[in-house]
Amino acid sequence: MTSGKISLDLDEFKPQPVKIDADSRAQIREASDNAGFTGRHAVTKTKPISQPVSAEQGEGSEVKRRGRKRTTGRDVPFTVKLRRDTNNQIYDLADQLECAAIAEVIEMALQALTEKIARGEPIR
Amino acid sequence: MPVISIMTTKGGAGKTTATLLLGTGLAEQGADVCLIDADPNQPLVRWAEEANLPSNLSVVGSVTEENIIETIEEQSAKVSFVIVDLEGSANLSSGYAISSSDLILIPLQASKLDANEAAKTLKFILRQSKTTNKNIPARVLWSRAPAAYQTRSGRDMGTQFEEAGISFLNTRIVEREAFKGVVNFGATLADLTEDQVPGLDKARVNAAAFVKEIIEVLREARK
Repeated sequence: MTSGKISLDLDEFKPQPVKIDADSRAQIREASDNAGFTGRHAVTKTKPISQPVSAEQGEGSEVKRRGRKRTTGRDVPFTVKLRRDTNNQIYDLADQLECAAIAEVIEMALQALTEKIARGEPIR
Repeated sequence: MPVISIMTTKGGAGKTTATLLLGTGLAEQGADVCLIDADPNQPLVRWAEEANLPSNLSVVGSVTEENIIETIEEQSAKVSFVIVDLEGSANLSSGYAISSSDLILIPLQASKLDANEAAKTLKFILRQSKTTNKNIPARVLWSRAPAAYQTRSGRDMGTQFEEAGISFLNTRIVEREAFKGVVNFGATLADLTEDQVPGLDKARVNAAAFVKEIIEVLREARK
């Protein structure tokens, strides 16, 4: 296996200013429009479109407070290959325990395993 | 000089990865490099905020059709390599970048959707070449390719492009965790460790071959 190290002689590539004159810019713009390359960057808004609604405003006024989304803190993806029966077992337990997310089954299983180890019970 | 633009109208094709591999690879060789982030999502700017940038590599963000030409003009006078990462859409900034470029790279994955967008981009490059009366070399780059093989749809697409006289880079950018790691860890391939991502050796060989081939294409174009 090579290390991927290369040694390139790049001395011939020096800074050299590019120049596009006004006429060329107009031609490019027209050709871009004709080719359907019409996309423009959105203008950045200096102020948010709507102000956030505070809890006090929501309760006392006509402006309704939006329901707060419960955050779980689960933001790390976890991909793993399982045997089919293991996979089915996880989903069956999620149904049985009425879990809101598969992650709950894994968390509970880990908790149970940790407790079993703490009690000195055999694992395998 | 040179200015290299990386574009296709398709999003998620591997433009930013190719920009980072080329930019950091050239900087490791000692060249002064500027990466221009013309994608409104500013992926390069966000990468640079976390990355331990070498002193000879800079990233310029907030580049739109309003200021892209001035930015390229300014940076091309300062550094040896300017690399422009464009938004994956049919936008005017691409038109301006094409006309300022010495080489255009079009990343392509082996899907019909990618191929259609790459073909659209190539037609646009040809049109801009005629408008500005400047021959602008373009190469299609297989990106996010399987490591061990070329898929049948990839082979079919490659044949069709080549029959239409469109050149591919010989080097394919392989789908690798290490390349994702560059973005995820805000690092360069040289900085990453095997603890962070697997397969670093192969990724470094792949990236080095990519950089080397780009230099060869640029040299060929200068003749």
